[in-house]
Amino acid sequence: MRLRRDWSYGALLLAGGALVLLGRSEPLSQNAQASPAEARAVVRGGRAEPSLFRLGSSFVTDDGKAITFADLRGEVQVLALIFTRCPSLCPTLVADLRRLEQRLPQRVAATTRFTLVSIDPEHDTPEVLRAYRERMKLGPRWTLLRGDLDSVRELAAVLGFSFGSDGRTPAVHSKLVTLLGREGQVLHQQAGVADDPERILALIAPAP
Amino acid sequence: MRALFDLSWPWSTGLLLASFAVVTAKPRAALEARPIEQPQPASLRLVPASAETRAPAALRLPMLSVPAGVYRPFYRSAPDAPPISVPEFRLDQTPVTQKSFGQFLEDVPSWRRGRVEPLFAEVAYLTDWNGAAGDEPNEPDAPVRFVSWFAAKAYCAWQGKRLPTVVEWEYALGAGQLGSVASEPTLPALWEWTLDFNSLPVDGAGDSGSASQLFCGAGARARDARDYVAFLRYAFRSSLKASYALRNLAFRCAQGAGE
Repeated sequence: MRLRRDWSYGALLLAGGALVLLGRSEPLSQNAQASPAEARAVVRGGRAEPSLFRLGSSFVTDDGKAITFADLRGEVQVLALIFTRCPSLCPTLVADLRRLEQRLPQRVAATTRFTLVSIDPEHDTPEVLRAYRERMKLGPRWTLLRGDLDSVRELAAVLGFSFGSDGRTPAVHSKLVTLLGREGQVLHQQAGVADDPERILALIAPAP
Repeated sequence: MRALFDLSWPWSTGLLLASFAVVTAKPRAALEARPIEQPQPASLRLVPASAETRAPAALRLPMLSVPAGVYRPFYRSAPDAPPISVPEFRLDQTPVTQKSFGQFLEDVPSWRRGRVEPLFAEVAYLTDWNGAAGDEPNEPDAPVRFVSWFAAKAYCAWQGKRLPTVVEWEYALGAGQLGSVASEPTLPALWEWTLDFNSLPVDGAGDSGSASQLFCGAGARARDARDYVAFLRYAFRSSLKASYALRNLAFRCAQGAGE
């Protein structure tokens, strides 16, 4: 069943990808060769590098403080979209991220932030998020954020996060983890951190 | 594109896609990227700008009323899945024209070609427009293309509207409530942005029923050519990213009752 689903999902993306390519105005090779981080880092026509801090949307932390992403400037962030009523996918992801945190070398642990943004703002009030923090035993380096539906939708759109058919819960393939640089640039993305924690670890803490 | 490979694409799909793309890529001589003005110092609150500036009534595009009803997607998450009920809403009569988008750029300059934040629009944004700054329509009455989701969303907010959801769009135009663009069983020349383009018609974690219904079943067992074209629209949306600006992607705005 799993094999069949993966195959059929691939078929959908294949068809969609081909249709999107029909509309491209630039040569294929330009983006196809580069990794996501490199592709974004390419200086394009003199334009600045995209930064998530340009999102104007404001969020509220689980202790009720209003912030924008730009307020998190200066630290490397591991970012994931979750919701507290999520039965299995999100708790697993958060537990995997906690294990990742425990493996961080001391020299980077104090400057690495873990940010969870709820995609279910109707239910996940700051109080609910605070309870979630306790339940999941999240330390002081963790920021839990709630925004309105539109802010969340924009953030998800920027990250390339897909929702399920109800437009709210994550799609099957959206165990998306994003590494943000100090200036909000997307350095790296991967699906979950359980299978391949070494890649993201090496990016957060390059060998000295 | 590559990000998708990293996340979920089987490598063989990537190869197939690359070969297909070589076959289907169109000549692009007329659309070479042109130099762009240097970026202006950026303010931090760019997206909400349009919410603060509203188009005068005379510049709002005419809309059609779409009656309430039910939408039956061609894919079904279960054999007995209920149809989706759609409340009454209004939809722009036509895709947004270059002329109207130009009026938006005059009113909200942060969305001009030379000013837009790279996060919100890739370099191909409005690449077919004329003028040194790239903000003169080349064909004022034609639909505006090469617009990102963010730009389309900001334009709709300026009009006092929003982008239609996938369900609204499919109900009105795909299933033929308005009997126009997409009811013909042929590939459209232009696709259109939707508010929730990044919602896959796949149920949450653990369910594979609707996935195989859609991805395996729909393509092969489509009842007629219209279903096949609808399948391609879902496929197309699932491959989009919000900053993409494509030659074959336009948009129109919607408005719910009481919005």
